[in-house]
Amino acid sequence: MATSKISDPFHVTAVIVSHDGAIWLPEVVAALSSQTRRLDQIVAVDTGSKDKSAALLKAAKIPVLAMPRDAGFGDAVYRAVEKFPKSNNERNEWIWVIHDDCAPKSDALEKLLVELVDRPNVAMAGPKLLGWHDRSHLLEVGVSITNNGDRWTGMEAHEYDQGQHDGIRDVLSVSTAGALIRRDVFEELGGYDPQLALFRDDVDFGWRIRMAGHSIIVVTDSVAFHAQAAASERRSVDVEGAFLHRPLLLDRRNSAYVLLANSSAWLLPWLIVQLITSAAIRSIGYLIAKLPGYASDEILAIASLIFRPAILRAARKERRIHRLLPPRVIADFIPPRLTQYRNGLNNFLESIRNRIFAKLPTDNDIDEEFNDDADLLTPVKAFNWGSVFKRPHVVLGISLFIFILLSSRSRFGSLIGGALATTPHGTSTLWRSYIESWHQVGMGSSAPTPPWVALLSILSLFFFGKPAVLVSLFIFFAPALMAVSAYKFLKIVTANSWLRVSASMLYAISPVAIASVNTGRLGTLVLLILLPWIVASISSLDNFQRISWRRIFGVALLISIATSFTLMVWLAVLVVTAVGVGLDIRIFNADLNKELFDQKLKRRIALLATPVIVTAPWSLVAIINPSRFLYEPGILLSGGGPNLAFLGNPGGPGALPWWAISPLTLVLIVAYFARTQLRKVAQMGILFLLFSVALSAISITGNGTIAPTQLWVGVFLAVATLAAVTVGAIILNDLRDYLIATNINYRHILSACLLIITMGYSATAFSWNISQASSSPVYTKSVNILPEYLGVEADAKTLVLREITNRDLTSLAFYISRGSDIALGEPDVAPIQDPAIAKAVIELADGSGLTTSKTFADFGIKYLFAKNPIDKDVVSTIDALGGFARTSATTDGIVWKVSKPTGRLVFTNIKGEVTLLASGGIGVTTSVPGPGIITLTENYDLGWQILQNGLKLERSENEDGLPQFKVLETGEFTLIHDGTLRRGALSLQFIAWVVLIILTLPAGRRKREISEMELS
Amino acid sequence: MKFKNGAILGAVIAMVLLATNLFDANTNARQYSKSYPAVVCPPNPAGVTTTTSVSSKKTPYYRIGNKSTKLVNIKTLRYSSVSDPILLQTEGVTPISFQSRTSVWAGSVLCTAPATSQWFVGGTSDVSSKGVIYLVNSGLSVAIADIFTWSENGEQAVKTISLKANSTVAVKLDSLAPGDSNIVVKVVARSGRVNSFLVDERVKGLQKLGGDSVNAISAPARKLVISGIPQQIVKKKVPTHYLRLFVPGVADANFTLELLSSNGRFIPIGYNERKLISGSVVELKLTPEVAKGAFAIQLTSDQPLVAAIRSRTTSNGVSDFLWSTPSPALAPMQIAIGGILPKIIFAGDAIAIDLKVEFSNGKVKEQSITGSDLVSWQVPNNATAITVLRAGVDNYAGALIAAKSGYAFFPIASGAELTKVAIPSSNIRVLNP
Repeated sequence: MATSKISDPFHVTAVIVSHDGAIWLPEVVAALSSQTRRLDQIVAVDTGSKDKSAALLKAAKIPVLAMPRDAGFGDAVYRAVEKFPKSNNERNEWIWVIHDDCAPKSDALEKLLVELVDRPNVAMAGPKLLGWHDRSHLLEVGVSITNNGDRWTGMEAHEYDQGQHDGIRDVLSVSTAGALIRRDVFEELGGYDPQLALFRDDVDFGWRIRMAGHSIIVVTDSVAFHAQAAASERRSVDVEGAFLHRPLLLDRRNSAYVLLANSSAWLLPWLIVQLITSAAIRSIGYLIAKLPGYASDEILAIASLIFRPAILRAARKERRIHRLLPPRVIADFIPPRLTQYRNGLNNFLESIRNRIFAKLPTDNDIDEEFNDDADLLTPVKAFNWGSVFKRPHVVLGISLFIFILLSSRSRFGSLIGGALATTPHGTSTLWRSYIESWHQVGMGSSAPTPPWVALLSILSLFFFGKPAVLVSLFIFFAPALMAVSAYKFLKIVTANSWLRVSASMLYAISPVAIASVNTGRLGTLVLLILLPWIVASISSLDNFQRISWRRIFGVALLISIATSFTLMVWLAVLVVTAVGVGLDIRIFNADLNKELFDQKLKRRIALLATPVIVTAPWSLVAIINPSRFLYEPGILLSGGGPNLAFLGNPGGPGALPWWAISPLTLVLIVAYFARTQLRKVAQMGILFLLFSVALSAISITGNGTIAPTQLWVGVFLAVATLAAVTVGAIILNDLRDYLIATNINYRHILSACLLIITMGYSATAFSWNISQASSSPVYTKSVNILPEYLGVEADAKTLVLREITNRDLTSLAFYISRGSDIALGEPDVAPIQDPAIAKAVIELADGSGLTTSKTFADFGIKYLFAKNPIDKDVVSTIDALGGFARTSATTDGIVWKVSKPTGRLVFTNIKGEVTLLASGGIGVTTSVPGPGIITLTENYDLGWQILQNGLKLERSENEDGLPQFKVLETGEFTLIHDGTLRRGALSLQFIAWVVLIILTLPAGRRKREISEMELS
Repeated sequence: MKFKNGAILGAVIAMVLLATNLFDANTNARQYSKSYPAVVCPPNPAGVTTTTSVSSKKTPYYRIGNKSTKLVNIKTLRYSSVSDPILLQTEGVTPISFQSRTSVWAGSVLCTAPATSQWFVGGTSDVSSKGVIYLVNSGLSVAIADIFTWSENGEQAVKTISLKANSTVAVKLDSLAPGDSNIVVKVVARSGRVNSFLVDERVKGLQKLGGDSVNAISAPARKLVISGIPQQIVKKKVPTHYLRLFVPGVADANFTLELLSSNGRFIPIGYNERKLISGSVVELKLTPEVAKGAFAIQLTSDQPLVAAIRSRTTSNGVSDFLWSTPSPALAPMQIAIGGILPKIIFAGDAIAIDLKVEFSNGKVKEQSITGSDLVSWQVPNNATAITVLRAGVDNYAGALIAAKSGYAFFPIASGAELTKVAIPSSNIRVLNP
């Protein structure tokens, strides 16, 4: 034992509690032995250690008391105190509680006792605790508890000990590791609470000491090193009541216990709310960090306590016996809320800073000594501004900016045209259209809105809640975003910056990119931007098993975002998956490694299934109606057909003319004959090119259009384009040295041809796009189709007749408007017009429709609007047909009112008399004058319901396909469209996205997974 | 190996391109809707009998003015009107309405589809006039029509008529240009489905001078052919015909009248490059010395004009007059002529017409008409419809009906032109600026 060098009135008995602590015990025993102030007594309690802890203690000639493995820490200390005899100097007898993973410095006890000499009111004192491994890491200088049960030390994460907290101070409590406790007080209070077998027993005990009128101090001159083995899950927690041996569960349960057992009664409700709320928030945080065990610990901990109030009642009763002071004496030791927040924020910012600037050189990294002489000899470097403009990135940025600026000169402001419908003013409109189960488009539709509308709504929050700003900026910067993503991606294939710049520039001005920007095809644009990131993440179809699940889900997230815009992306993934599985089968047949095959297959299925799951129910509708896999967001616009597609040009409005031939196809074909990996990329590119050619021959109808429209294959061409850009960059990168070193041969000629075609294409694409900018299909919105006054009546439908031009052919088209132009997202849910309406319009145009106006009235169409310019014959035919009364003729067009009274809600009484009922919006509450039939002039849907006196009225579908309801009595009724299914589906979709994002985020680590060095 | 790969790639590309080009949907093809608008037959004035010939008993119709506008089958080949005009869904067959006031006059008109403008060359506003112009609105909303009238005294005040839905309005001719003898009327439908029918009835004191249903002219033209002018020579006296002409434009016209008859073709004296002042109606006497039966005239002018010719006829001792109006060039068409046995007068340089005649017993007979200048053909008994299958260039025809109450004329023309319009398609793009 250590020799005593100092004389003091105290009698100190050290109590070591060991539990599988063989790793740390030798140093702990040594530390106790070398104390400058000799210990008067030392005793150890071993709680059923499975390692050599007991043997080690015995070998050090320390008396060891054996206790069961599930004995609590407090029980062990109390048992030891009971066992050793009391000294004569009872007032000065102290217990020094030592953990088996806590080694005090040699003068720790001495420093503690020195401070106790003149402080008779102190009943407990503790040392400053530093990390076991990093001994400059400050762990604790006293401890407290926050209102939500968190252990509060006031320290920042990994705070470096520079003496900043040194001094002697009153604290709520000190850690049990190294706590020096007056024996009489310990015994008087009954020691540590047996309910707190481990964790928070220190805070509770300190709280009780304080309430009993004593004081507690921390003495920072006294230092101990603590491994925090139990808290950091370095050993199992086996104490009684530690459900499933989970430290966090025990910790959270005990923290709640401490608060609820010691706080004043009137604070209890508020504390319970706080505990539950903070537990819920922490659970979510743990879920996001993919630590579901910890999340469940949080909930279980609170539940296990709240559902057993008898324990708390007993604890509070016990504390009342020893309480001498009012509860407010504790308030000074509870950290203010502001301090807690500030500390939390600091820790958060620090973690971000560490993540971002972890590798920045610090002053310590400078190993060269500062040499004034050498500095003087170094010539002053003058910064040459001209060199800036020779940097590839700068060249790329400037040229792209000029290109974008010139080709977007008619696109400053809110955009319209092409595939883009009018963007709503506020994000709330977009949200509503996403959430609502019924869309008032045409004759109405219950089709699910695609998820891109929700994504746009979320993103527009960052643009002052203005989706129009977001869309305009997105279209404006799309070429730049494409170039940047391609530039980043090409880092994989070449280190040559100039080559990367040129290739990424070509990607940004590829035919598919130009056509997509000019026509506002959001789906293809998003894919063009995300595709390089996707491919960069999974650059090979082989070795799929090596890709981490987190990366797989990261890629799945990117694919899901792109799929949210167009399901054609999913088709492309399906093609890639099919090719990948084919390769896997070939490999499996060769090596018969089923595990490898399964691992690859699981990953491929995850990539394929995730986008479908997160975009359900929208994607599920496409499974029922497969043509929906081929739609782009917005208005259906035709593509250019197979021949243009073969040249890599999707065609259609806003696309480059055929004579602007891109080198895409040629590059892919040339690369196809390579013998390297290049060929695989070229094969994939050619595969997608041929898919584009094949699909571009298909005509589809949909998105509110029944005119067969040639399929736009931008998505497939985007993949082919990226493949071509990639192989082009690789070819030029690899060939450069070869061409320099060899005499002129066919490779030189081929390369020259490729370069000439590429340059020719670049010049053509640049000049054409800039010159045609003013006639771009997407342009700044300046006018509305519908005159304002047609939008005044909330429930009025207007059939709009207008001549539209498609592929140089002008034809008459029509659609039903609900008082305004079509808005973003609406074409995607727009129904195909009812055949009866279509027939009526045809008869209207050819003059044979005697009953056209009646048909219109039956469907609730109040107005007919012929938008100028329109064929005069059509106007005179309508005039001559009858059933329509002209109400206005302006430069905008001519408006006729349907003669027969009509509206959205039409009531027909039993005598056949018709009354129009007030109706605005989707649902309405109004009254009906008597028994009869209410006809709703919206498409029939099972969601339509009318409730009268709490009962649903009988619903049926009339011969026009409209819902009608049988009314039996006079009175008020409510029309609703039941969106329960939609809301349920959206909830599931939300959960699916959250899960996907969580799976993509970096996972949190369990404490046992963190290295000891990191911990302390 | 490279060659093999290249060949495979080339073959695949060629195959895909070939297949896709073959199956490339032709979205350029515009779809058309072809339909015949419904035709409207004239109302039946008091004391007049109006019978309409149709080609099928299943022809849908309804009476304009009735509350119900539901189309029902007509169930007869000769429909006798009560008073209201009727609307017929004949799908291209032109019905003929034959009208007669017993022992006073007879007339016939084509049932036609509503038109935005119709010209009537005929009638009078002087004291002898008992004529009426009927405006029929077959639409389901109020129609508005303007009646423009010109006479020998120039343009008269415009009369605007508002017609209730599914109704008929009668306007007396003597109210259009009071006191004037020679009038030309133009009815313009400002809105709605409007048909107009002009009945020219005249009296002199208590003496009934006869009457006729005047067929409408669709628009003024530089070339007009009136085929089917009756030439009744009584006691070797050549009858006088009255050619009413009107140049609606601002410029005066120079016109030439060529007469086509079984005796050949010639320009009567004074009708070569004859000047016609615009803006006022002119009536010229024409006394051609041609063989009895019928003849035709061809008017060529440097300005668009409208014309009709009034001829006096006697049938069964009843003196009547009829208005022969211009016919359009013959084209494939079908006319229902059941029960009226017309004689059709074909005119043209080279007449070559193939006809199909349908009989009430269901039989069908094809007939070729050939000749030059003028050919007459009597429709056989029990014929219900004739179809012009083919017609030579610039062949024209008009039909004359000799009835107990008088003579009637109608031009061989289609009452409802096949309407071919591009089918409007449902396309949400119309709502996007």
